[in-house]
Amino acid sequence: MLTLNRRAVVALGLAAALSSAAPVMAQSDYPNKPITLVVSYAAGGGTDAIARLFAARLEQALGGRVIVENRPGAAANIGTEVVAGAEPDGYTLLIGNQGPMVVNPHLFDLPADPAEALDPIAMIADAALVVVVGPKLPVPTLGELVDAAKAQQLVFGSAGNASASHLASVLFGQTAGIDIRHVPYQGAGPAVNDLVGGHIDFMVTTIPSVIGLVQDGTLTALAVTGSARFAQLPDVPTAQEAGVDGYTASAWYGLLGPKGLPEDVRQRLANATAEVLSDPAFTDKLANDGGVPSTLVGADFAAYMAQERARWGEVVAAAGISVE
Amino acid sequence: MFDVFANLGLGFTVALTLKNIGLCFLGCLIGTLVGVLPGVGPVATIAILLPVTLSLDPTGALIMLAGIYYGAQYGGSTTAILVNIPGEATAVVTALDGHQMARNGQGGLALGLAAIGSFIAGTVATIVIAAVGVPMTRFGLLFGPAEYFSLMIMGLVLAVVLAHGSILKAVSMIAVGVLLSCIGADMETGRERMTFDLPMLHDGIEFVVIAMGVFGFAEIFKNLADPEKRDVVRGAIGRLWPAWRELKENLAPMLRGTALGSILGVLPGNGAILGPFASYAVEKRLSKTPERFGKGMPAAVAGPESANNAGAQTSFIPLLTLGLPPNAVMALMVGAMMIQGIVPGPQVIERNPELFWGLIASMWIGNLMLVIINLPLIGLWVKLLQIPYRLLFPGIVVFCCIGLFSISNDPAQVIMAAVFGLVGYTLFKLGFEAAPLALGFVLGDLLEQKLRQALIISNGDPSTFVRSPLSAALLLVGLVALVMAVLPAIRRSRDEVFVENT
Amino acid sequence: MSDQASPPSARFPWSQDGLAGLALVAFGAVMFWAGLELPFVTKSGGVGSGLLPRLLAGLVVLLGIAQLVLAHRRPGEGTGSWPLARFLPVFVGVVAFALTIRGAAIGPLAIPPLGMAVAAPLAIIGSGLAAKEARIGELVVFAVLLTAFCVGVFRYGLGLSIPVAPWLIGF
Repeated sequence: MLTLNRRAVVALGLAAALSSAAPVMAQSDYPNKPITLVVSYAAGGGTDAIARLFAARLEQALGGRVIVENRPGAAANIGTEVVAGAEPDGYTLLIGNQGPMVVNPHLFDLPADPAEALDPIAMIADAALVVVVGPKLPVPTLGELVDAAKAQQLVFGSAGNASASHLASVLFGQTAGIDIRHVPYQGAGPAVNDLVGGHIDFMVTTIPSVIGLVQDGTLTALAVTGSARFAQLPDVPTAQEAGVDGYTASAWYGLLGPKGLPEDVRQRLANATAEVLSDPAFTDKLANDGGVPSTLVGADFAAYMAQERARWGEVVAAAGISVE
Repeated sequence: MFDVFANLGLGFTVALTLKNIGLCFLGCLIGTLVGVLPGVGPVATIAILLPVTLSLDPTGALIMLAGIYYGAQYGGSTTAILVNIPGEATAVVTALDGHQMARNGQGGLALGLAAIGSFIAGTVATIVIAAVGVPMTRFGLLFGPAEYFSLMIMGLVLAVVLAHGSILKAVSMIAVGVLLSCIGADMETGRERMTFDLPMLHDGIEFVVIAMGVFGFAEIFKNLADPEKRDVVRGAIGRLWPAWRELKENLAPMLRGTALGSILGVLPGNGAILGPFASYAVEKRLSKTPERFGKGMPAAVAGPESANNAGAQTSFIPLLTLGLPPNAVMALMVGAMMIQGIVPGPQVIERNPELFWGLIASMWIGNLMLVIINLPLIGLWVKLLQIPYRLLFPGIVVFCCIGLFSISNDPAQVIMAAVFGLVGYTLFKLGFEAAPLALGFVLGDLLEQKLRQALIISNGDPSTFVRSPLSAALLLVGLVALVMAVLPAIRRSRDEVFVENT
Repeated sequence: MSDQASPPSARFPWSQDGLAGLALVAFGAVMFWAGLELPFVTKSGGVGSGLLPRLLAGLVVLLGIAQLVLAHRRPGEGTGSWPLARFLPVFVGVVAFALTIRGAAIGPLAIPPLGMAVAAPLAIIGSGLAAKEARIGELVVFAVLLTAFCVGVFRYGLGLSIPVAPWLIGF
C-alpha cells in the first residue's frame, strides 16, 4: 500500500464511500491526504485566527495539506461532536480550548464527553487574561478594586455567558470574596467599548483586546491572571503579587484527535506541533496575540485538562451558572 | 485643517506606491467578488486570507484587507439590485427600490447611481475620518447600552416608514422580525428559547438565512409561479449609465445619505446598519413623490447606498483612534494588526503614522478603484440578466446553496433558508412586505441585548432610559417619527380603513 | 402589488387580509406557547429570557386580531391561486443539495458525503426542471460547467472548506 496508481485510489475512494467504515491501520506514510482541522467557532474569531496560523505552519512540519474547517454551533459543542465521531486516523483533528473542553461538560448534557471521546495530542498555547478598569472606576490597584467592590456592588462586562472572560471574573469575585454583577456582551469588543465609555466598572479580558488602551493610559491594568508577568506589560503585577491569593485564570488552546489515534500518528503530530512551537516565526505571532507556547504533550496535556475541568467545575457550581 | 492635508499627503505617499496600489486593487477585486456571491461575506474571506497577508508588511496587509471590506459592501449591493438578495442587513434597503428598478429595465441606472453615490460618500467619509476622527470617537463612546436601546427603538420606528402598503401589516412584520431574533440560546443564561428542540435553531437564525429565504428564494418562487409577469418585466433593458440630469437630481440624496451614514458608522456594535434605513426614511419624507418609493425610485437607491458606504468607511474610526472594533470585520482587522506586531489603540497615530494615514489615503484610492472596477462591470451584470431565466435561476439557487452551507459548514442552514423561501412566498401572497421583517430581525437582536445590559447596569431601574439626555432625546425623535408616520394613516383610515391603496 | 390581474374577492376570513390576520394569530400563539416556560424576570430581578419573547408574541396575536377586525369590516380580494407545484422542484433541488453535500442519515437511509460534485448538479438540474421551458440536455451541460466553476471559485479561489468529492479525491 505504499504506492497507488490513480485508478486504485479512485477505487479505494469509492469503496470507502460505499462501506462507511474504512479500516484504521498504522500508516507509515501519514499524511497522504489533506488533514481537516476542525475549529468550533465561526471564521473570524480569536480561536480561528490561532488555528489558521497554526495550520499554515503545521503544513510545513507535516509536509501535507491542513484545511481549517469551521464547525460552529451549540456553544462550540458541535466541533467536539464532529471530531469525536470521526475516524481516528489522524485526518480529522480539533483545536480545543477551555470552553468546550473543560467548562461545557459542567453546563451541558454532552453527547460526547471530551475527556473520554478525544485523544489529547499537545497543548499549543496559554494566554493569560488581564483585570482592567476604565474611567468609571479609576482605581490604581487590585486591592482598591476589591475595597470598592466591598463598598458598593460593581458591574463587570464579559465577552459572553460562560466565556473565559466571564468565568475568570466570577472566579475573581469568589477568590476575593466580593459580590459582583455580570453584564454579558457579544464578544470582547463591545464590552471593552463600554468600559472605555464609562458604562461598566471593570473587566477580566484577553490581553490583546485591551493592550493598546492600557499602554496609552485610557484603561488601567491592575493585574494579569497568569502565574508570571506578561512581557509587553512589565509593570502590571500578577494577581498573586497584587494580593489576591490563588487567583489564576487563562485561556488555552490545544490539538486533539478522536479517541484511538494510532500511536505513530499521535507521535508524528506531537512532534510536528513541537516543531511549530519552536519556530520563532510562529511564536512571535503568538506572543503578539498574548499567547505563550506550551510544552504539554499527550498524558500531561490530559492531566492539565482534568485539573482545569475540576477547577472550573467548582467555579461554575459556586456561582450557579447554568443553561437550564 | 492644514495638518489634515499634510497628514493626508503623507498617507498618499505611502498608499501610492505601486505595491500598495496593487494590493488595494486586489483587495477591492476580491471584495467585489465575495460581495456579489450571496452568503460569502467579508468576515470569512478576511479570516481565510489572514495567514496569507502575513507575508506582507503591515500597511500593505491592512490596505488589502480594508479593500476586501468595502469591496464586499459594494458587491453586495450589486446582488441586491440584480437578483434581490441582500447579503447583509445594509443591503436590504438597496434591494427595495434597486431591484424594482432592475425589473423596470433600469438596472444599469441603479448600479451606476450606487457606484457614483458610494464614491462620493467614500470621498467625504475619508475627509471626515482624517479631519474629525478623534472627536467622532468620543461621540461614539457616549452610546452605552441605554442610549443604544433608545437608538434601536428609533430605528424600529424608521422601519415603519420603509413600508409602502398597510401600516398595520408593516408593524406586524417588525414585531415578527424581532420575535424571530429572540430564537436561540439566551444571551445571559445560555438557555434555549423557542428552539422547538431543533439543533439548527440553538444559536439563533442567521440573518443571511432569512434574507436569502424571504428575498432570494421567495423571489424565484414568485417568478416561477407567475411566469407571464416575469417575462414582461424582463423585456426592456434601459440605458447603462445615469444621465447628467439624473446625477444632479440624486446629488442631494447622496450627500444627505453620506452625512447620516458617516455619523451612524462610528457607533459601536453595528450602528452602521441604521444608516441606509435612516437615509431611506429621510428621502421618502422629503420627496415630492413618496408614493414612488418601493416601486423603483432612484433617490431610494442613491441615498441609502451612499449612507451604506459612508458608514462602512467611518466604522474604521473607533478602530483607528482607539483600537475598538465596532463590528466583526473590524475585530478581524484588530487581529491582523496584533499578529503583525502593531498594537491597535490611540498610540497608532503617533507610533505608526505611515500606517494610519496610509490606510486612510488608501480608502479613497480604494473607492476610486471600486468605481473603475465596477462601472465597466455594470454592462456585464446587466447582460448576465439576459441569460434565459430557465438557466439564470438554477444558477442563483446553487450559488445560494453553497453560500448558505459555507456560513457554518452546516447543511441545515440551507434547508432552513428554503423553508424561509416558502414563508416569504406566503407573506407575499398575504400582502406582507419582507423588508420590515428583515429590519425588525437585525435590530431586534441588538434591542434585547441593550435593553437587558442597560437594566443590569442600572440594577433594574428603567428610568435609566430617560435619565440620560441622549437616550431621552432619541426616544423623543422616535416618538415624533412614529406620530408622523401613523397620523396620516389614521386620518385616512376613517375612509380607507388603514390601507394605503397600492 | 397584487399577484393576479384581479383576484376574485373572497369572503371573510378567506380574503388576503383575513388570512394575514389568521397567520399572525397562529404564529404569535405558537411562539407564545414555545416561550411559555421562559421566566419573565431573572433570579436577581432583571429582564428574564421570556419577557421580550412573550410580550412580542402577545403583540403579534393582537396585531393579527386587529387585522382580522379590519378584514371583517372591509371585504377584500382573495389571494388568488397558489401554484406551489410550479416551484416545488426548486425546493426539492435545494433540499437535495443539503442532504448530499456532506451526507445525512434519515432513519434507515444513510446518504454518504457526496460533495459539490454531486450536490451542485442536483440543485441546478432539480431546480431547473421547474421552468416550463426547461430542456434537459441544456440543463445538464449547464450544471456540469457551473459546478466546475463553483469548485474553482469556492474551493480553490476562496479557500472555503466545502467538500468537493470526498468519494473520489478524499475531500
